[in-house]
Amino acid sequence: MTMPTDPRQPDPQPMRHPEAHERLADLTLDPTSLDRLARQLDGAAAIDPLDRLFVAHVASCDACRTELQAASRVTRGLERALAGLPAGAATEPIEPPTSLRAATLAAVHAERVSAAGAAAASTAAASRRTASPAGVIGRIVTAWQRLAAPARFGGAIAALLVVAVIGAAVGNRLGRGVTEPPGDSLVATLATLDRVLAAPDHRVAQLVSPAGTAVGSVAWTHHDFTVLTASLATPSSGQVYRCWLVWAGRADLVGQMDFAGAVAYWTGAAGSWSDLTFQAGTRFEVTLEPLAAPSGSAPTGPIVLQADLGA
Amino acid sequence: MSGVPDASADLDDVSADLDDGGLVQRIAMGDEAAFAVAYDRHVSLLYGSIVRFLGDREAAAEVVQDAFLSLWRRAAQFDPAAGSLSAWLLGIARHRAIDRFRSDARRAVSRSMPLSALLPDDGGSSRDVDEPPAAWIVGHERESPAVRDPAAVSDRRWVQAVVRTMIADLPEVERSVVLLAYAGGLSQSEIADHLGAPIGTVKSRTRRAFARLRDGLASVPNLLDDGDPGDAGLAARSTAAQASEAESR
Repeated sequence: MTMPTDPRQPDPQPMRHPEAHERLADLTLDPTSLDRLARQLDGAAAIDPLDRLFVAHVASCDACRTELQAASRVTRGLERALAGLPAGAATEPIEPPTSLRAATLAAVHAERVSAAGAAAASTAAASRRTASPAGVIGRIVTAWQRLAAPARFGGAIAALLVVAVIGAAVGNRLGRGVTEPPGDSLVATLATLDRVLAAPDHRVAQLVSPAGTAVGSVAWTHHDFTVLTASLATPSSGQVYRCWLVWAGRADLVGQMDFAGAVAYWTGAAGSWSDLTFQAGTRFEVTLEPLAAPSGSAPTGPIVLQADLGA
Repeated sequence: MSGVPDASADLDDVSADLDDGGLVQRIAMGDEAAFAVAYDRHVSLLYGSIVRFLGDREAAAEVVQDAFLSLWRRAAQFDPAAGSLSAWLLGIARHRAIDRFRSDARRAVSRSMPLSALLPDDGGSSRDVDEPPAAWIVGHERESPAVRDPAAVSDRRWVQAVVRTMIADLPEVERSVVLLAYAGGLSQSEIADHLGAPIGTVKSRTRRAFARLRDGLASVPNLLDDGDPGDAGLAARSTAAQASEAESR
């Protein structure tokens, strides 16, 4: 392999490192440039004087040789990746759905809570017997799974949330030395949830924190409305989580969240308010209120959870 | 907001410029905020690549979520010296995606569909990608035995998916010059005419784009390793040509 030379031309100054970098950058501007250089090096074409100097530098410079190798790989990779793609074809960014972020972070949170609960249970198991409300927990599992069923990727999340709920509940009970199973009202809520999810016309909306993180779901039919979440901390004494329907500038108090371990829940039925076919812009909100606040008053505390019902 | 756990609320506690190795160390200790930073940093490449690979956004979401949950569970196994976090995540996602790819192929075969129907893997009414179906594999390569090998098909498709995602994630002005040059075959001056922009502007955009792509591809070191002598050989040929010239003098 020899490079054609012109004996009439005096040897030019060797190309310095910055110039070689500049030349390499120029060669990458046009995808055919490196191919042309390769043909020149193979003797298939007369070598450009500038390329001759570049090649001379590359031959003696490990860094530039590595750069050239990397550049040629990238060029070839781009050519292959775009082969056959019409010039006018859209190659726009594909934005991941925001729900994926919320679901993934929720799953991770659930795993961490679950791990903490499992660790607590393991530590205490030798010295303490706890009643296992297996029937209720099994129904929570089913409820979470069904609640998340509409989103295919939500299946795993649902399972993880269930583990978290159970784990956190176990940890909570152990921490307080309480062994009683979740209360009857949770059982009633789960029964309502079963009924809601069995209805062909049921709707589900994401329950989100003020930061926009998905932390649970609400589900309803034209008869029933259920809320289930593992994201609320038990309120301090003197406080309560109140549930509101908010639309057209007004807020109607419809209930308050109950707790069973780490699970917060609420269920309502038609008759508690006038219409379960929600208008556009209707929101379900949970606020943290003073227990002493009059039940008919407007919300005064911070919104801790909300869901868009009329979307 | 009291009483409401929210990983996003802790994001300020994590230095935004913490490198991936530092993030993974914190993730291994159960730091959800660090996980959120890692998610935000890498989800675009993962999701875009998997959507382009599978042609199905819903399936891609599942795969991407699996990959990130693997990061959460196995962060302690990540060795920054062995490769970048993006390469690690892409590797996990790729395995999951290929499983789906093969599963789709098996289902197609079980329904007596010809496997060749899957080879371009670029369209069908259920596909949901932003590129025309015929763009995935150019015509003459459909006839190549190598392309008909399922492993080669999936390898090629994977490289295309990742590189196209890296291109798609470039700033718009850089993306357009790359597409015009590499997909359209236009020279820099032709691109300048086409865009009505000064040639200097076009060149600087192309250089910036190329540098970004080079850095991005460098973080996935094995992506373009397919044994093609044409790539690795250029630098070697430079050296050989120079040596030959020196001998001839």
